[in-house]
Amino acid sequence: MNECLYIAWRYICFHKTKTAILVAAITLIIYLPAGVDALVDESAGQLRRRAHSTPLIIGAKGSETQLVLNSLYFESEPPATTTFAEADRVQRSGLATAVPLLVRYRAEKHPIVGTTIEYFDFRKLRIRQGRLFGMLGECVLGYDVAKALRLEPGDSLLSDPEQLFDIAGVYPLKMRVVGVLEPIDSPDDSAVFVDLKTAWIIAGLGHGHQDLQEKELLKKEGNRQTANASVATYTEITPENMHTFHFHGEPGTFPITAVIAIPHGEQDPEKSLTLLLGRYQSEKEQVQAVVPSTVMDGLLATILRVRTFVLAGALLLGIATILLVVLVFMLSLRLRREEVATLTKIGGSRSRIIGILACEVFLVIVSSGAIATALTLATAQFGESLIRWFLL
Amino acid sequence: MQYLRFGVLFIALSISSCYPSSGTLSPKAIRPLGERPRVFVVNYPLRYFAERIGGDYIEVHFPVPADIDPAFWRPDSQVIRGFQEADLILLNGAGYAKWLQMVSLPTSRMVNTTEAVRKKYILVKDGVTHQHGPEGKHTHAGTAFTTWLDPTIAIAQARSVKDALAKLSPEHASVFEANFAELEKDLAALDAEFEAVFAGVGQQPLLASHPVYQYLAQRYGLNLQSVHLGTR
Repeated sequence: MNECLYIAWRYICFHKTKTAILVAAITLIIYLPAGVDALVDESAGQLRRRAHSTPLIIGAKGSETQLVLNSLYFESEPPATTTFAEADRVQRSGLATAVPLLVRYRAEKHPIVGTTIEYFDFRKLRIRQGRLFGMLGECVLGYDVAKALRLEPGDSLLSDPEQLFDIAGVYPLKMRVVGVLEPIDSPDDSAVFVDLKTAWIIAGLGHGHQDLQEKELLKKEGNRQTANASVATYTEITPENMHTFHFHGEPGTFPITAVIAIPHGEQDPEKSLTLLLGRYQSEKEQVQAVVPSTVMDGLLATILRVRTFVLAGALLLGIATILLVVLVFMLSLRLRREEVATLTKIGGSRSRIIGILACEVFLVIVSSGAIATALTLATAQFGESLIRWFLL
Repeated sequence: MQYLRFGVLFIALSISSCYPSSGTLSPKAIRPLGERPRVFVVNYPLRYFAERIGGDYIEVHFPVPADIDPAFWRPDSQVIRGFQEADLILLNGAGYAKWLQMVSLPTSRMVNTTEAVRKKYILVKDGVTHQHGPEGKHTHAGTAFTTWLDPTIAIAQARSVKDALAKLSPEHASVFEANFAELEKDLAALDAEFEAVFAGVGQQPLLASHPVYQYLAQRYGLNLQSVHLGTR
């Protein structure tokens, strides 16, 4: 048997290119379905983990998927906004802690997440450098943002204008970086966190400007003053000009994209969750309450159905490729007829010759299987990072 | 004699409405158990209520320097961090402490002590920008915020403090309830005393040195006008 293996090995070494092509083809047949399966499992796991760790999301009526994807992964188009009064309503219910979110603006293409400091406790985010934001205009960066933009506490970061040519629109705000988070392999690593009020300033609902001079006044009616456009508004919040910043309107009417509700009750949070959920079931409600895990499970069920088709396709492709490989071996045998005849003439028995040919096939298939297994294991090992780079 | 008594009360309220005081009535002595929750407050009346009701079961922090008006004070990042790490933050509401708009605090741990009496808020239409200390220029336009000058509102605020403390530390709820009952009695007595004093004043025009006595005037039906004695 050793002789058969040796002769088969020498044959393979002599026909390197042909063997490499065969090994690559068989490797891909094995790896494609296994690798896709591992990758889909990992991405589904990641999406599920984030969704299952978020008990309830409340937002304006509309697409549940858009609301959940925006609130959890900060990536989809912003959903319709609701008002801050909804966060207040959740808090006042006594059933849950409300964590408001406004995820609409970007800084250097990274999502700006306007929230309150409860978010950091909720997601168990830890500060790696600096501190949490404490005043208007301050921001805390996710680990990947700080790394990509090479920023650290003390540096500054500009919010992106929503529309480049809208010169009458909202000006970018220069935010001061005060902290960088520890990496936790989640969408939080790629986000810029600011206080909700800072996000409202970016939205143009609050601003700071120099004291009005008489010559800048267009109209004065009682306490209401209208100034002309020459009044300089500040694009950066500093300790010196902070006192000039103010909001127009009631905070309760200001926009948020979602409220994360964290149910109270250490013993029975499910009860608080159910009670809270029940309050949003009325037809007249202007907002909806969704359980992210339910929405994500529905979404993933669709993705998994698609995966079944992909795997079926890969299986058919595999069968076709195996038939081709068999054909390649048969044609190869026909081409090697003279070689087999020579082996017979020098005394090789029929069984020995079959053994040599079988060893050749065995070596090719084992090599392909080993490489495909290694690739699948690597996919499973580094899939989380791959998914975060490409999908999340 | 009656006017002398009125003058003493008036001066006492003036001081407590704008500046923190170091003097407090001694809270009921309660033996502490374990680590005490940290309660941050934004003005002296709330500090007093929290100390009277919470006693030694809580640690009350009022970080405003003694020479600065807490309504217009501006905290630094160190102080904000203290507020962020507090177990409970007691706010006065009614637009008191404008600096709250400029900072990031945990909303779930904040309690507006005048929430239940919002309907009693007084809107100030005219406000003059002025300055009388290191805290810079300010105006009193907007909602009048010295709510505690109406003892009935002060009682509502104290009740709100009691409820928040009971939620924070339910094992001591009965003690907080008892302490609140005593405080309520004291504030009711003060209210009765005020009523007696102001009954004799009637609609005589009164002048106040600063526009912060709106709730006092509303509660006792006073004909009170304010002047601004600060530096413009």
